[in-house]
Amino acid sequence: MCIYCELWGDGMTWYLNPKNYPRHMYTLPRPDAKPRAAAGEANPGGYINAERALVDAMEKGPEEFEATLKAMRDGADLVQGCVGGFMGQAVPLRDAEKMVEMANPLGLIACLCRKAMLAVEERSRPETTCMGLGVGMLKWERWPERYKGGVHWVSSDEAKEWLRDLDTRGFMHSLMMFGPRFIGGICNCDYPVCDALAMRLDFGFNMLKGHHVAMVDHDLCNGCGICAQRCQFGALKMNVTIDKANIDQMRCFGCGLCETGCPRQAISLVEKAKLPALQEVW
Amino acid sequence: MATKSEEEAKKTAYPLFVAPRPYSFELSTEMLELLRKEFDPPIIVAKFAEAVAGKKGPEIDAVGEKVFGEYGEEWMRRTLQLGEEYPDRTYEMLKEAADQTSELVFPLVLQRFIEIAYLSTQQFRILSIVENWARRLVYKVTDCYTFKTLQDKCGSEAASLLPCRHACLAMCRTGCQAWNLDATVDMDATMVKDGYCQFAINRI
Repeated sequence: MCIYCELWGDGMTWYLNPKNYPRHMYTLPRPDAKPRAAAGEANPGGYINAERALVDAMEKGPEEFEATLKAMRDGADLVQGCVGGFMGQAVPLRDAEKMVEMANPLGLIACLCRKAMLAVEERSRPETTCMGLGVGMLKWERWPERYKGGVHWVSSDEAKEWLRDLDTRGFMHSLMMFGPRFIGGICNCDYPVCDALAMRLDFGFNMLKGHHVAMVDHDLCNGCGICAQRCQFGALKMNVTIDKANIDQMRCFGCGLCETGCPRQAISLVEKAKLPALQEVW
Repeated sequence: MATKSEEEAKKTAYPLFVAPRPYSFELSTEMLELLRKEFDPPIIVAKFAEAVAGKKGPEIDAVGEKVFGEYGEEWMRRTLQLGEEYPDRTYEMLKEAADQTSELVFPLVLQRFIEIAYLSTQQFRILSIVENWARRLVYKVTDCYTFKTLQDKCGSEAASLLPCRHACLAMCRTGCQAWNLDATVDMDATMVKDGYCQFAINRI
C-alpha cells in the first residue's frame, strides 16, 4: 500500500477518495493579523533552482549532496504536508479521468516547468498542459506571474477530452499535492522537461510510482515498438530474441502510456497489490 | 532569422490584466458584521430558552424544530441577499467559472454561502469542508458557538437533544431551494455522539 493510501485512502486508492480534494473558500483573518503582504512574484525557476542546487551539492561531495537532499525533502514535507518529499504520484489516464470528476473547479493553465526549462509559453487553451484543481484556483489572479496566459475553466467532460488528447500526444499524467491531504493539480509530463519527474528519476524523490504496472501479452504484441517510444522511464525495451516488447516492472511507473498507445491492446495495467514483489516499490 | 510571423508574435503582449476595484478575495467584514448582529447565536438561544421554559423531552425538540428551523431559513435567506450585495473577487471568479462550464453551482456556489453563514455567526475562522464534488457537499462544525451557548443557557440536558441542528438543516435546505438544487440534507455526525456535527448535502 502506498503511504498516502495508508494515511488518506479510507480503504480506497487515495486519489480516488473525494475527501482528498475539498478546500474551504474563505479564511477569516486573525484579529491580531497584520495586513497581508502582496503575494509577490512567483518563482518560475523554483524546481530548476532546486535541481541546480542539488547538482552543485553533488560537485561538493556526497555529504553536501545528502544534506541538501535531506533539506529539500524536509522542506517539501513541511511546506506541502507530504511525506518523504513525495508531492506527486503517477496516474494512468483512466484514473485521471475519475479525478476530474471529484475536483472542482478545473482550470487549464500553462506549465511552469516547460516555461522554466525550455522557455515554452503556453498562452492559449490548446497549448496548456497543466491543470489546477480546487477552490484555490479561484484566486489565481494573486499570482499573475505564475498564471501568465490566464486560466481556462473547463467542465469535467472537457477536462477528460483534454487529458485524452495529451495522452495521445505522449504526456504521462501525474497528480500534485498542495498541502496535506489536498490534491491540487494534474500535470502532464515528459522527462526531462517535467521537473517533478526529473527530480524523481535523477534524485529519487518528489513523484511516487503509481498503483499499477504494465504487463505485455506476447501473443498479441507484434513488436511495433510504439510502447517503447512512449515510455518516459526506460522501463520498456524491445526484446531482441523474440522481437517483442519487454517491460521491467521494477522501473515501471504505471502511467499507462504504453497501454493507451498500443494499437493491438497487447499491454494492460495490473494492480501492484496483486503482485507481492512490487507491493512496496513506490 | 526570425520570420515575419514570429516577429509579430513577439510584439503581441499578454492581455493586460486590470485589477477591478474594490479588489479583495476575502469576505466583506461589513457583511459579516451585519449578519452577526442579526443572527448572533445568543439571540436565538435566548428566544429558544424562553420558549422551552418548563417543557420536557419531545416538547423541547418540537419547539427547537420550530424556533431553530425558522431561524435557519431566515439565516440563509439573509446570507444569500447580503452575499450578493457584497461580492468579492473570489465569487466573481467563481461565477465566471460557473458560466464557462455550466457546472459549479453545486457544490461551489452553495458552499460559498454556507461558509458565509457560519463564518459570520461562529467563532472559528475556517469552515471545515470534508467533501465538495459534483454529488456531495459535506462539512463539519467542531467548535460550535451555538451549541456552547445552548449548554450555558439551557443546560446540558436540553443541549444534548441538539435542537440547534434544525437551524443548520433548515439553512442548508433553504440554500438548495434558492439554487433549485434537487438534494437531500443529512446529518452524518452529531456533537453529542461524535464531538462534532457533520452535514451532507447529496445531489439526487
